This record gives sequence, C-alpha cells and structure tokens, in this order.
Amino acid sequence: MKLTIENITKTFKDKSALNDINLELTTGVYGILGANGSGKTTLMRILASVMKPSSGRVLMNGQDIADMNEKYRELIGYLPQHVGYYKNFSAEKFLKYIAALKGLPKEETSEKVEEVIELVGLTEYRSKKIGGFSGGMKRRVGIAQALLNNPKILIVDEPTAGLDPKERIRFRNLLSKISTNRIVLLSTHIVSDIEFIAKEVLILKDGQLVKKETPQSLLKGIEDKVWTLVIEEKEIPRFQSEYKVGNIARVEDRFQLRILSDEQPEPNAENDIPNLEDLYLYYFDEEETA
Amino acid sequence: MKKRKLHHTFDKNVDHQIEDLEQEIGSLLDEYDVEYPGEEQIIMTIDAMKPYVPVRKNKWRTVLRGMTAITKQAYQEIFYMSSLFWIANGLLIAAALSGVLLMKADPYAMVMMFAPITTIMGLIEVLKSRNAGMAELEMSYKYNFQEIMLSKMLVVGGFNLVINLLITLSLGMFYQEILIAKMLLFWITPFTFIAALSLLFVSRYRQIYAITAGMVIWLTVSGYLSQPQIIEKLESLPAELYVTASAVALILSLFKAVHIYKRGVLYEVNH
Repeated sequence: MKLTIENITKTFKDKSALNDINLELTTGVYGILGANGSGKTTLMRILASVMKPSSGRVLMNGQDIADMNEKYRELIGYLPQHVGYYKNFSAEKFLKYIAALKGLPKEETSEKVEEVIELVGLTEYRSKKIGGFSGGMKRRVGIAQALLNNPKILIVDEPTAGLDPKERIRFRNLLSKISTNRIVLLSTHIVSDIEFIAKEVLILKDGQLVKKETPQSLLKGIEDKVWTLVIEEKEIPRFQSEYKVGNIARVEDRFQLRILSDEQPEPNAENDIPNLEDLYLYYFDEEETA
Repeated sequence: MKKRKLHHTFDKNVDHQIEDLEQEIGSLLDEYDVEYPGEEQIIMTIDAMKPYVPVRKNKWRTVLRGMTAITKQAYQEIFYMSSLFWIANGLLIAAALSGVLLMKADPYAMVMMFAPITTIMGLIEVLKSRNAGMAELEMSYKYNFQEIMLSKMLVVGGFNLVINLLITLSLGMFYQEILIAKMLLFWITPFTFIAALSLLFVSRYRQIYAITAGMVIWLTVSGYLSQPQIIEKLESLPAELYVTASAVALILSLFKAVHIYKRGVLYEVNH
C-alpha cells in the first residue's frame, strides 16, 4: 500500500498554504510536525479528500484519488481538528448513523459499532448524549467514527489538542494500538504525541516539507546542537534574545538553560542528548509555537 | 560465363573461436531469459493492473449510481431526523385541517399557504450538519456531504408531498364540492417553487436564522395571497399558467440538484 503525494500546492487567494509537496507514504505511523499555519491541516484535508489541491495530485497505489472518488473515501478514516458532532445523539446512535454514511452493510453495523466503542473505552457511556461528553470523550468518539470502516489510511489532525495529560496518554496509546497494517497520519505540534509511535516525522514549515526522516535520524542531525548551561537569573534575557532557549530549570539559586545552537554558546556550556522537543525548537521559532 | 569456384578452407581454430563466441554470447544472453510465468502469476498481474485500466465513463450509469446512492441514503436519513420535525409536521396537518373544517377557512387558500411549510422547516434538518460542525467530516465519507444533503432534501420534499396529498384527500372526503384537481394546482405550484428556492438556498447559505426569515416571508406572502379578492383573481388564472410555473420550478429543482451533486456546495473548510 502506497500513498504518493505529487507536487501538491495549495493557495488561498494570494496566500500559499502548501508549496510543491512531494511525499511517499507506506504502512506505518507518520507524525506531521509543524507550528500553527505551517500547512499541516491543509495537507491533511487534501489527503482526506475534503479539499482539492491548487495543483499536483495524490495517488493511492498509483491511482489518482480524484478519479477514485468514493472508492478512495471508502479507504480512509478522518478525524478533523474541529468536529461539532450531533449533540443530541447518543454515542451509539451517532456511530450507527456514521456507519450508514460510510456505507457499511446493515448486518455488520451493530457488531462494528460495538467493537469501536469498546476499543475507545466508551462502553459504559454508549447510551449517553454526546453533548454531555468531555473533550477527551468527544475525541474518542471521533476516533471511533474514523475506525468504523476499518480504514487503510487513518488521518487524524491535532487529536490531542485541548486534552488533559491523562487523556493525551490514553489517546496516544490508542493510536499506537490501532496503527498496524495501515498508513496513519497524525498531525500535531505536541512532540511527545509522536516521539515513540512515529515511523517517520514530517516537518512542515511555511507550507514546505523541511524534513522527512525517522525520529532517530532527525535527532542525530541535531546531536551536536543541544547545550545546557547553568547561569545567574539576570543573564537569562541575554541568552533568550541571542539563542533558541528551551527548558529553563532552577538549580539551587541558579538556572539551567537548554539552548539550541549550532555553536557552543559559552565555553562552560555542555553538549546534551537531544529529544524531539529540541528538534521542534530547532526548526520552529518560539513565537510560532505559541 | 565463367564460373567462380568457391574455396572452402576448413580452419579448425576459426571454428573453435566461433563456437566459443557463440557460447559466450549465449551465456551473456542467459541473464535476459524470462521464465514464462505460471497461470497464478498471470492472474496476479492482471489483478494488479486492473486499477490502472481506464474506465469508460457512462454518463447514464453515473446518474443512476448517484440517484441510487441518494435514495438509499434518504431511507437511512428518515431514522435520524429530529423528532421535533415529525411533531411539527403532525401539528401542521392538524392546523390545516382544523383551519378548514372548524374555522371554515377557504380550502384552496389553506392548502396553498401550508404547501411548502414542511420544506421550509425541513431546511433546519438539511443544514444541521453544517450548523453542528459536521460538514468537514461528512465530506470524507462514502456518501459525501452533497449526497447527504440531497438525501435529506429528498426526505423533506417527499414527506411534504405526502402531507399535501393527505390534506388534499382528507378535505376532498369532507367536502364533496372541492375540486381535487384545482386543489392540486393550488399547492403544487408553491411547493415546487419553494423547493427550487430551497435547493438554491442550501447550496449557498448555512445560517438557521435565514430559514426563520424564509418562513416569515412565506407566511406574509401567503397571508396576502389568501385574501378573498386575491384568491378570486388566482382562481381566474388559467390552469396552464399553474402547470407551466410548476414545470419550470420542477426543472429548476432538478437542474440545481444535479448541479449540487456534480459541483458540491459552497463550503469553506477554513476554520
């Protein structure tokens, strides 16, 4: 199974959201990392066939998805960043309705709905109205609807945005569990979401694909660029203005700074092992991450 | 004519050289030998290539497929319509019948006034997915957004048709003097006209308040039209005019429905 993205460009009036993206995706989890406005959602929407590219095409096993039409839509499961849901529907009724929209045979619907409800851990809330669900529970309903048709391609856009840490961990584990034998595309700006489950990380910046590598090789690329340095409090602003500063931790009466820099910032700065958060900081400016 | 004598010199060395060369060429060509595939491999290749074979597009088959999909989905939609929609329509039938039977209102004016109300109210159901923030998700399903919307329109329009027929037949049973054909003309025209406008509306707007505005406008217009002197004038109009107006509205509806199906609806997936 292969999803090929060929020269995809998307422009909105005079603003370019994606610029000549070329990619090839096979089975496994791909984490799309990028700041707000980097083009993650636009790329996801194009892959979910809810948006048409301005130019370029997407091929599924060599066939243009625009020609495949509903045959392609039968293969995908999509969870957009913003979903409203029908608040008066119970989780079960909602999923049964979506099963109908996905063209699932009626005789399979109940069993499949049962299966996904159990998978996302909503069995005891199945008859409750979605309107009364927490953000995390709604997201779980969202992933359940995406999985109803046993999709070959699963596209989830910022699935952990707005979730508390416990729900985020639960969601991450769920994604990890369901990622076998399919292409999973997961966009996020929370690096810990993809750190341990992504086969490859795609870094998007200003609508361009900056990197597509395994997390290990991406980290290797910045292994001599992460520094720690213990300084006085009054020196912090200087380092913040001159370097990309990550974590700031208090060490007794001084402060330890984690700095991203191609060169050693100070003679007493020590090289440290990079993590994906460092990588994110290396590619994106601090103000973009806000 | 002088015959040329051919001399064949038999040189063993040259012969061996040629043989060696042939063998060398043979072994070199060996790597280009293609083993004839087995039956199973041939079938696998054909299966793998099938998706790349261009499919001849049959226009009528596409239309038929679309209509089947919309009809199938419309059946499903019936079970997911809001109960409020069905209750409101039940009340509507009761109001129309009691208006004529108890309050002695003009039956023609009454059917004309009530004819498109179900469709106008049904727009709330049609626009529900956009208002609930479900449109983007629905665009990614097998039955996509426009098919879902047209399915809902089919349910609403079909139900409206049934209601109007029920009211017509009920009044026909109570009042022997009522002309059924005239009644039909009085409601088919506004019904088809409003249905055409609704299709135009749903492809462009998504605000629920616009439906309320539509309802108010229709009730005002129909209130004006149902005045005795206006009804008298409307009754004097030739039947052909009603038929023509209905036919035009019906054609416009079909044209708009096909347009929605083919081109989609105005929906910006930009949050």
